[in-house]
Amino acid sequence: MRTVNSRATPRAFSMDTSCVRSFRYPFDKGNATMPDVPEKPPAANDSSSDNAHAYWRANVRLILVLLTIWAAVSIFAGIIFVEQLNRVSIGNVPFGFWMGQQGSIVVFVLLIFAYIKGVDRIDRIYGIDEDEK
Amino acid sequence: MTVEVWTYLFVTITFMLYLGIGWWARVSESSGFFVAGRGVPAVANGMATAADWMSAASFIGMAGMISFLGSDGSMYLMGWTGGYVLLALLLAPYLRKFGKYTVPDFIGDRYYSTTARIVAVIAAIFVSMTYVAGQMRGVGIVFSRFLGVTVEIGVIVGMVIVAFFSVLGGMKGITWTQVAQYIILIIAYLIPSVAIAFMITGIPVPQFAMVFGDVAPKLNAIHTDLGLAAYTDPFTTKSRLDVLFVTLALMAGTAGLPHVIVRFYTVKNVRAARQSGFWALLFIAILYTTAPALAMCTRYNLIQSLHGKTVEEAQSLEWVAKWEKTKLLKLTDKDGNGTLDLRANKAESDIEIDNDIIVLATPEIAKLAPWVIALVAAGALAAALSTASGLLLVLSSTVAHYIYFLLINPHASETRRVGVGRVMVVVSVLAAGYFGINPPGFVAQVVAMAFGLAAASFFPAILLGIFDKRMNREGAIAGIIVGLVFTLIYIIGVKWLGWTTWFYGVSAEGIGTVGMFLNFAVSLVVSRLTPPPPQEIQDMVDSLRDPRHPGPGVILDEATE
Repeated sequence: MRTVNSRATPRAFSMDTSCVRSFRYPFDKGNATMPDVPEKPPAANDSSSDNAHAYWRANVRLILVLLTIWAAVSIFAGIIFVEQLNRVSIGNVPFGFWMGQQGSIVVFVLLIFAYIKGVDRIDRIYGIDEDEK
Repeated sequence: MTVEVWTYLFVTITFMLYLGIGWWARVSESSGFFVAGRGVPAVANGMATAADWMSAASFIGMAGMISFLGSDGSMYLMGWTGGYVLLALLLAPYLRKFGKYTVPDFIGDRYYSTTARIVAVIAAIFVSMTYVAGQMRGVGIVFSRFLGVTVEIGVIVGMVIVAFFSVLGGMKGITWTQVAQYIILIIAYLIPSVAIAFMITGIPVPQFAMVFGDVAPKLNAIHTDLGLAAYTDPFTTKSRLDVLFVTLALMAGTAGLPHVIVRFYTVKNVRAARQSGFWALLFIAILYTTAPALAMCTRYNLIQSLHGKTVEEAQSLEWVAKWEKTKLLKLTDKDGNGTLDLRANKAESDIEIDNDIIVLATPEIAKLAPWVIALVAAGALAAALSTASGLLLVLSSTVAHYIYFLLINPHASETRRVGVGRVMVVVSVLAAGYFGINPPGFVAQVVAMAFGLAAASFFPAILLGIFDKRMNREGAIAGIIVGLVFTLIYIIGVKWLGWTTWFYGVSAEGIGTVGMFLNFAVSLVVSRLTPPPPQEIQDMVDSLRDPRHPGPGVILDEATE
């Protein structure tokens, strides 16, 4: 895509841009059978694709947890069970109404924050360092 | 000084500022400033994304829509911000790792198919065009009020300015310009909101004023007196199922917007893409949590200042007289009883108010200083311009690359393609201006269509492309086609052919959700009945999931050079 001009090659120094397009990155650091428990650091001498797989599963698990909360505060609290929640008030407004108009948005911001922290933690556990060359 | 003088002053100053930043960004770039960092800081990128995201519709239109819909307005608030969560968690980090710039690129590569790529290009152009049209109408409304002309002439003035900006200066340093535009638009939104919240409830923080002030009970009481449903009661304008489906369609459709996705390619690495997702939603949330408070306060204030008054009394208010000129506010004593009465039914109501003027008129209704009114105008223009320039960037580069280079003239030189890109900007502005002037209802219909179609096509294809390694070309294409065709036929049938909403009463705005589920189902079934994707594609999916070795960040600003 030439029209959006990628700065793949900065003028100052030259970098091989072909790596950008290449799809195969072995998980060279990976070396663990990965336990279902992601908290454990990878043990030595296991196949790298297992580690990659476990890293991915840890990511998916985090996303699923966060999206469950996402659905609970918006779809369930704001729409499906709004009348039930409206029986309770927060300040001078019904709670379900407030969740739909403001509460869910506040939770959304917190969710993305939790996501950043969560992935950072997973990255640390699995020894994923983006800046490695 | 009068409002008009202040408006000219603010608009001129802010436009000079945007152009100045573009020039500065360009200078620092050639001296190596950007090359060294190869990317924009996450906070700045978050602000730029927020400015890209919050269009004239968010700034001008949303609070008005909510104040009209009451509790059901939640679907826009949750739909647009909730969609952002989907984008940040499910798509952005992986698309950043993918390293190419557009959704068509992703679809085309992941599904190893030119057909899929072309379908994606057409859908991307369609979605982007729709948005630019919405911005044009927004700009038109601002100018019509402050230059004292009709919306049509306002749109034409806006077209000239947007085209000038995009072709000459707007593309350079677009990220930093959008950072400035975010700051201006958020200040312009907050000042009148704080003022009106304080005026009505005595609490200066709009978010708290709505919850702890007494405006909600008072407004509900007035509604009951007028024979309307209470403001905070749900499902008064739409059924529960419809609200649910519209919300889901907005969420999924929003997550696939091409001009917002492109933003994630400007940051240094995958981690920065995740972080800028957080900053962007934080900056968006500042406006989105203010909007419902503003909606509630203005509705209360509007009813108080117009309902039960005579036409003459109402017209003696300066803002009423001015907005009547734009034909966006109509006061007619239809039943001839001498007073203006607000009714639930628009045809019987003596007060007809276009949702789009609520935010713009707020400072005048709250009797704020003329410079605040002018600031709001500058903020609305910032919102419209930032979104329009981001969209035009995507539009022109998509068309120049795919349609012209790949399909029409594969031997075109770089210069020639840049020229085509510029021409495309002008063509897009003209087309968008046309839709901005012609029946605004048409724009609303097309907007519904764009979200529904994006939800029914892009979202499942991108999501499955990342999370389902087994998803193949056959499954994705079958899913997109079924989702698109179903949604398109339903929308056309309901909007133009007079069908009833036969699918459980789901409106055209919400049917994209059904299309999306169909797409998911068809994709999964067909992919399991056909051969798996080639090994290299499966390896590509593995590499998407590994955040290491991302390609370098993109400098968007060079798109049309």
